[in-house]
Amino acid sequence: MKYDVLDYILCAFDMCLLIILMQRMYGKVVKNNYIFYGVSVLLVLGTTYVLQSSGNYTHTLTSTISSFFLLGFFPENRQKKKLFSTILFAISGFWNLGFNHCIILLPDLSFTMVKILYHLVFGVILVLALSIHKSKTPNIPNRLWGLLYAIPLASGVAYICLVIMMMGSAYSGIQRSILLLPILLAFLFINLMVFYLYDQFSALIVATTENALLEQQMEIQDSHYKELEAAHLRIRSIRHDMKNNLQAVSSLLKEGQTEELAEYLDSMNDHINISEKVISTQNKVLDSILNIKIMDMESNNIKVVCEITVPPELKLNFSQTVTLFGNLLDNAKEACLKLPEQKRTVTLKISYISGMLFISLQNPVHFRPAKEDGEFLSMKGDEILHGIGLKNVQNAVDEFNGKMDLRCDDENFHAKVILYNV
Amino acid sequence: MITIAICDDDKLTANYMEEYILSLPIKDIFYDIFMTGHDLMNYLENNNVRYNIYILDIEMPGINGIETASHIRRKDKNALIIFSTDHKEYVYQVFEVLPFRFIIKPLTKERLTTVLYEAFEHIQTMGQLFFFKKERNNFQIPFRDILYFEGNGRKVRLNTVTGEHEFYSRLRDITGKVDANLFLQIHISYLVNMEHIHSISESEVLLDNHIRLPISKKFRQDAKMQHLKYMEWRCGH
Repeated sequence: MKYDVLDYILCAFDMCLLIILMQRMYGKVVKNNYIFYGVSVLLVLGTTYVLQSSGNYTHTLTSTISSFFLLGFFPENRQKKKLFSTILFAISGFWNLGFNHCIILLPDLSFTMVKILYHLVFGVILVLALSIHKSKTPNIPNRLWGLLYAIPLASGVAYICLVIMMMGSAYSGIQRSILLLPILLAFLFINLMVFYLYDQFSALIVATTENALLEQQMEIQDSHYKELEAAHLRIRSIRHDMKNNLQAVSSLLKEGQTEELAEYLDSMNDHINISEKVISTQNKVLDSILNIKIMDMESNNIKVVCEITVPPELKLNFSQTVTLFGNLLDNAKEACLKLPEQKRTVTLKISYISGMLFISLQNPVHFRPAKEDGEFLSMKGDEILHGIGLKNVQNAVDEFNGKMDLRCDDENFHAKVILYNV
Repeated sequence: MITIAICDDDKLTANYMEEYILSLPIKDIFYDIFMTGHDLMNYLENNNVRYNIYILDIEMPGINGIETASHIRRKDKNALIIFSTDHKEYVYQVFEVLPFRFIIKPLTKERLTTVLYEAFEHIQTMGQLFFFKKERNNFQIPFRDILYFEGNGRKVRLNTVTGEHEFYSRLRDITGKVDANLFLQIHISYLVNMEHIHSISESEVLLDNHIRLPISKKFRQDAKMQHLKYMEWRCGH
């Protein structure tokens, strides 16, 4: 009975560290906080009581297993919980086995000392895991999960094989322990490294995604410049045409062929109308991107309805303007091109009220785009890179503390954006 | 009754506007037509009148529409100013007077009707009254003048453009008494009028008169979404 209280304390010690580690891995417990703590206390009391009444002392492995009952309280996803539970199980298991060999090697320690040491070192291992697993990181792709699972599984299997081999050998108990202890510690270390690997993998994913975002932004800026150049060329050719046309008109006039002249002028009028629509907000970047995109859409027989009333001095810089409007209008164009010509109408409205910019873009769609975690996926399809254009738009929106709302019914896609302090 | 002042140096446009307004199925609209900004300003000064809605041509000889508008705005913060213009480029230097809408010429009946109906709705929404009791007296305040409500236990402090009132009530009871399309809960103890919001950042909401109120994490995402919806309505999209 003398050690009763100590057992409870040691089990509570394990549980506290395990909970801290789980919070780091899966995020803080948000809902049912009190129930969570209540269950934790009950688990400590229950585990210790059951172990004691069956004549055992508190195991770190049982602490780990009973901590699994708390998994449901943590917010983050199942896949991550499964992997890290496996790892924790493996680590506790290896430590248990390793410690048994330690006791064989150090037979003179008092029982209390042994128990304290046993839990204390386990605590150190958990703190190590905590210090390795630093950031709350996003998920990693499927193929890497398999790799991480292989570590606890392979080390478990290897250990079992080793023990079987040892059984048949002529080593004494102490000799076995001397051989097995370093191997067990090595396995423990390798499993601990999964925390590190996971962090590294997800850092890599973050970097890849960021690169892709930047690349897309560069691409859209680059294409803007190309379109600008093309627009210049078009204007030059119109000027050149004008010369020829004027010559034709004057010769028709001189010859007195008024009917042909009227017909000719009509046809020219149609031709000029195409490039008639000019957005002029006095905001050079906005004007140039909108004019180029609109001209491009109109040449694809997409009707563009515009209602734009904004002041010339907006805090949107070149990159933000191109990212926002380039991506949104490109998406609208892409959707329109899949539709018959008579349905192709894009409505763009931009308004400004004391520092706030409101953008609304509506275009028809031929089917509803897929949505995942509340985010629309573009149809281009790539595991990490999907919807990257819209993610860049979202980033630009975030730079203004703004909000973007994307909605889609069976016929129309509607993007609404508000930006503050523009 | 809704009063409209039309100011346009082009007689034809003014006539069309009159014709379109007369064709609206609403009875108590009262309107006056002025040919120059000078006329309108003189009339306002000499007779001490205000109109609900001003439709101003930007390009006018003498005092142009923008100058007229800033004169009106100095006197009347609530007036709805609608600019009509055929010069697209001019439009964009007028945001200081907080224009309500723009009508790009050539004028169409459809556009004018839409803009006017939006203006009527705006006036009606902002003109709704909030009633409360303070020391046995009854008070009423139009929504447009309310900046925000601050709940503090069993008391509520009402902050308006003209001053403060404190009375016994709970914030959650106020929520039911005001227009949910106009008032936004940003915090357990703050309910703000979206018409007066300038910006929403990570941690605060900035209102007119440089008032800063905290926005709590719990309400932030919802609040931003609601404000986006409000702006859609406010901009007439």
